[in-house]
Amino acid sequence: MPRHILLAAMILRMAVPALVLAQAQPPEQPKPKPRPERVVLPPMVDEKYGSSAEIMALEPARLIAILQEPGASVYAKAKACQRLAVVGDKSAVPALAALLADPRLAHYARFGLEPIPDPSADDVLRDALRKLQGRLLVGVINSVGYRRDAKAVGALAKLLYDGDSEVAQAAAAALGRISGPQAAKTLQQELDRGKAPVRPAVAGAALVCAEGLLAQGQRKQALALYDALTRADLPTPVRDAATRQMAAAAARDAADQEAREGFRPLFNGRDLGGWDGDPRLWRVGDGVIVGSTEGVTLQSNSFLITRRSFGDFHLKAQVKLRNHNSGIQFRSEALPDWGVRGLQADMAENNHWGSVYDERGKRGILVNGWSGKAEKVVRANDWNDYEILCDGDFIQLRVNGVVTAELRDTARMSGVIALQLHRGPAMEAQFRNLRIKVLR
Amino acid sequence: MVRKTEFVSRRRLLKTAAQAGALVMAPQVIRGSVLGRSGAAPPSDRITLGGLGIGSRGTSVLRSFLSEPDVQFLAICDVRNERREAIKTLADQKYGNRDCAMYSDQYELWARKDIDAVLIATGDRWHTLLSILTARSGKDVYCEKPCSMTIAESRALADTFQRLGRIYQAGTQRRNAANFVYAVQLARSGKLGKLPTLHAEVGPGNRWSPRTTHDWLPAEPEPPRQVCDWDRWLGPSPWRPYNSQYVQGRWRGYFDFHGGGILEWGSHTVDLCQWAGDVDETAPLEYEPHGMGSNTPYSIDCRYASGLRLVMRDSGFLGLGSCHIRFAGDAGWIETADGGKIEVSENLRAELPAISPEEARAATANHVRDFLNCVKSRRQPRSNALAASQAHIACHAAYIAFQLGRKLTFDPATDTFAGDDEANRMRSRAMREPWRL
Repeated sequence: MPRHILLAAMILRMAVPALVLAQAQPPEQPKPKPRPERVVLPPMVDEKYGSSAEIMALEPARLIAILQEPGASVYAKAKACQRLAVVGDKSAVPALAALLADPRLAHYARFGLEPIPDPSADDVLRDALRKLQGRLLVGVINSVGYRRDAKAVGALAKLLYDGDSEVAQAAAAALGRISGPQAAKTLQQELDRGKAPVRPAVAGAALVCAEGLLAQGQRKQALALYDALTRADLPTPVRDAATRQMAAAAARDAADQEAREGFRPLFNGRDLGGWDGDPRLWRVGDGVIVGSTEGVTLQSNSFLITRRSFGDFHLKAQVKLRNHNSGIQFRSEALPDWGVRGLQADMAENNHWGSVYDERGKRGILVNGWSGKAEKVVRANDWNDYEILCDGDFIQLRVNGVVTAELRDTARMSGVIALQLHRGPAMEAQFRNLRIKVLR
Repeated sequence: MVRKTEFVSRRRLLKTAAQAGALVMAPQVIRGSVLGRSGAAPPSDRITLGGLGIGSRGTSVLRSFLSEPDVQFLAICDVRNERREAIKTLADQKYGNRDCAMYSDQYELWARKDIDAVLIATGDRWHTLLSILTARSGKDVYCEKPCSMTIAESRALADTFQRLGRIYQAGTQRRNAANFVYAVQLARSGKLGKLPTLHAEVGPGNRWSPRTTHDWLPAEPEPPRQVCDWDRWLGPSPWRPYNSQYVQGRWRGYFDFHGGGILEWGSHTVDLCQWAGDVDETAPLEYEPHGMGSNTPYSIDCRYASGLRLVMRDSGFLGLGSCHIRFAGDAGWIETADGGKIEVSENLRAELPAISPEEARAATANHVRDFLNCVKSRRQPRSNALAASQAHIACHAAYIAFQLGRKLTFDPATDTFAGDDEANRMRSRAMREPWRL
């Protein structure tokens, strides 16, 4: 440690022994220190009602009275609205609603109305949809959307064709946020017909709407919306997002299906819990196990080995081999110094993928799964699906869905699973989505 | 240094989205115009940048961007003429040309298809809204902290970036400061014991009042729109009369423009605690405020679902610098702050690394680099939208408990307070028309 830190630590230790010596304890609170007020210009004070703090300390009934008082200042009314946002109930709604058409206070009125749980707040906002125009209408539409007032869907659908494009865009966004079957239907129709002048806004809203549908379990309608959003005439960010969300939904479905079938993670995606390997060679990043021999010279092949054994199982993994040679051991025996002996689902640069090899054994390659099989489907230096099925004496390997090797073998019916780094040139192999179903 | 990727973990939803995304978005076309200066990165590797509202802090971040060889800054948008000119001068001097465009309307900047990413350093009131609108325009975002004004804004921020697959980096650069990273790593290694208590320094109350005020300053004549567009400066926040103090940077402490002293500092320190506790994807369940009187030390005692404890406090640290964090478990403790000094319990002293003040100061440069790397790789940076939003939600919830002066129970899955109507009504604020999230 640098000397100045040591010195500082010693001084601190003398100054606050309780802090440093009580190692496991949180620090004690020191004596209260005066907290000077912020130094600013003197703020505005309302002639009748005083400072903002004084106004906002008033009871809700008094605040409502300020809103209704013709001579009260904008300042007093603004502060009353902001306080009613937290404490106002339905008795405050009419007074707030009366300000929705006042250009200076309309936003403050919505500030007060938006958080009021009582449904009468929805009623007055919906009512204002018919009466206002321009920016004040935009504001009310936004508040209706924020409150997710499903009763407003019909009125909002009409506003999609409002001559003021700000109004039409706000209506689209509100429909997206409200979501639910009726809003979804409206947005889907607009996407299909393609007549709405604010098509990009409708598309953005549909994206939000579909998410709401998924959250409510309305999968079919959500996917239909996503599908409509992948059309070529829509903005690229929306199309990309819809495509990605559809793929994500499909991936979630596949994962759910596998979980139902009994597959469980063999790798937790975060660390090497449950595994044992040379710490110089293995790390975890972004849900991936990365094995690399860069900067390390291996005397013999080194493995990342499961701490438990598996007999009959179905293993699925995704593998990316940068170069050289790797593989997945199964039904193998763990040896000292992260070595193993037993069967290996092999892989190598331009060779051996899909083959069964007898690591540290005498049988060599038991089945050649490369020629005419894996060689046709393997993606070099890219992610590949690798599957190992061991069911009694029957063993089957698949690469990217293609069966590459089948054999019957009883040499060893149970053992560890292990990931290989091969000695020789510096190499890297990555593994992710390892999941296993134990058959019995 | 710890590798970035060791700590990144996301909800299953995000993970599957990213994996699926990796398939469908494979050919990522990187835009970037030709610079024509020797020593510059080739165009395909270059990231073109725009700026929104760059003041003093923003300028310092912008300098970090400008010193990266693969960045080209193309345009500045600001409501103040003076700021537009200053940033244009900075960029033009750097490149030896007069090419930096100036806008007062952010939509003109978003319309520029040749801009990949945007640095947002306006006042807090604009942060979430501009980040979201920038993402919708198809660009990536580096945004100064605090990143949101409310719980609702935080959630919208995380959802939008997840939905659109854009890259977001919050300006919480301490996630890339060597001393803070070491402390986080130590807490996560288990060497402090199981579930160490996390202590986050929040606005030191003797200098930063935790409370915001609803006051208005006296009205001054509004300047011409070309000099300063007051309406646009206010943006989504409530209207109030113009006063030059606000636009000159003295807007903190006003409720309409600022989230308070807990968020101001907690957006860094609570964020680091969430990282240390491996709870980046959630927030505490319980918030119990202490010391609500004026001129007294204050704290908010928080608890996560796992039983993990987080204490936000304005005092009681070792005085190593600003922005303390302390992690203390039954097997040891560590405390660090700005400047790079680290203190640990005796048993952990031997393995303590020496971190130079230069290393500690490199945080912003590292953080900017992290963002740029992720713009290219399409991976999530350390202060991604979800992690930042969850830490902000914890700070907002704590400040709500502090204002109400009572213990609150919160459900991080639904962002809802249990049985407290007032608290729930403080989770969002209506935006001034025409703005919405």
